[in-house]
Amino acid sequence: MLQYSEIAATRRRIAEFQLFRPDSIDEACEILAEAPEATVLHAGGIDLVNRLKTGYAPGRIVALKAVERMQDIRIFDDRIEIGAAASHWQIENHAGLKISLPMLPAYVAGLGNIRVRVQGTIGGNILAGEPVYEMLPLLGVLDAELTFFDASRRSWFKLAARDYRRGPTAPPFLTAITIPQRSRSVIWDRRLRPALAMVLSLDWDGDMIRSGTAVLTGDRGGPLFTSLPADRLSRSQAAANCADIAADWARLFPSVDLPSGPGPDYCRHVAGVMLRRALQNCLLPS
Amino acid sequence: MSETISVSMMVNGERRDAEVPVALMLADFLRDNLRLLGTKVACDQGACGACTVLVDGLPTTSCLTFAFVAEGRDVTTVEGVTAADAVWDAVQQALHEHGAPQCGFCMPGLVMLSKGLSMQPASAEAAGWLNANICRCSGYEVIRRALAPWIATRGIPA
Ligand SMILES: Cc1cc2nc3c(=O)[nH]c(=O)nc-3n(C[C@H](O)[C@H](O)[C@H](O)COP(=O)(O)OP(=O)(O)OC[C@H]3O[C@@H](n4cnc5c(N)ncnc54)[C@H](O)[C@@H]3O)c2cc1C
Repeated sequence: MLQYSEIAATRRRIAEFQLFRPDSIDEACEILAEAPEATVLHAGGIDLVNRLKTGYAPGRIVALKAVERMQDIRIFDDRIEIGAAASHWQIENHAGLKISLPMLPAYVAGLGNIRVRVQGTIGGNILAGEPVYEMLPLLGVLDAELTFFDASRRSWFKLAARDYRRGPTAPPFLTAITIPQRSRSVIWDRRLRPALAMVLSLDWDGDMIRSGTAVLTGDRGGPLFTSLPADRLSRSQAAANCADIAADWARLFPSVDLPSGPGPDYCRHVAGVMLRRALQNCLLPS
Repeated sequence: MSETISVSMMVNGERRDAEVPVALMLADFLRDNLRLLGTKVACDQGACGACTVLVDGLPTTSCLTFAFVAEGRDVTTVEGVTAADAVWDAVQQALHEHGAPQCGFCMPGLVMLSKGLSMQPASAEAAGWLNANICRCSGYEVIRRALAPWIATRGIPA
């Protein structure tokens, strides 16, 4: 007779591992430093467990659930600090964030579905290294900084979110994400996701656009950040010449390709249309 | 010898303690150790939601959650929403009255997903909440109709 376990059994093929459950960041760092190559972190576990099911066998797993400090969200006058193990659900429903940086909970509320947001964490989303995952583009335009512990060197370092790219080996230990408090407009378009998605950010100096950044992501790669030369355009000038500005900016985009799409030129055109729409939305009187 | 770990959690209001392999999934703990067979596993990748249970009131994908993660927490399965006298819960009753179950495989997960709705603070998101789970018979329209009153109240019983 066919057993239930044979029908849906990939999870039963997970190789044995040694489990560690530290309750502080220091303890987690110590465990990682003992065997950096053989140890991986389990935050929400969505990506990690799916990888374990396909035969990935790291040997040692450090569960971050009990490290309460890594789930903290703290708001200061000049910055916001988010623990890397804060769940999407926590961010989406955080009363302080809804006031200080409302775009972040609003953006996170659109990720995946409720089960993914309850289980998945902001750190796991970044460090899974999947080009279609959406936290890195937003954190990049928000000028967020990532705080890492490098277990092999036993040293701490910081990196701008927009410069982080996951390599082939396990990533360093991300403990926190720091976002400076600044006034800016951020708008996103995920309607063509996972093929193509865009985040546009404009930094304002009063009524002038100080600078702009657009980020493209898709399942062929990303995030691709492009700085947009705003040259202190006023809101009214930009609104009056929106289509031309978007067309000029779109020429700066790196080559993007859609899966089985008609080629990079077409994709650049689509990205240009998305940019024009996003710009129009940003410039609408609030 | 396989590495084991002691777990202790509340399941449907009862305390359950066990020594389990570290790699045991919550879905298997519920089904194999506790014989709570209402929780189903279909895609085994966290996409379909058939294995949804509530952990501390929130919908959780039990095929992607190690049993040790539920340590000290409150787990509710579909068996836990039916009263001891086998009277259906309001969500189950609504789905039944609308003839929503076809093959029925997604129903336990869908019931649990709907029950979790009372945790949703913003009513604007309530409808999107139910998009999380897949019905392989594609009976979405009837499911949506059956659950509309539940969605309208965000699952908060009157
Ligand atoms: C059905 C489904 C739909 C989804 N839809 C979307 C979507 O629309 N948009 C989107 O952006 N994402 C989406 N996702 C992805 C989801 O957001 C991620 O899977 C989730 O955020 C990963 O977080 P986690 O905590 O579970 O990661 P884990 O699985 O715990 O970790 C992922 C990886 O990062 C490593 N890691 C975790 N934390 C750390 C840390 N602090 N330091 C160093 N390494 C660490 C782990 O070792 C592992 O390699 C979807 C996923 C699913 C299953």
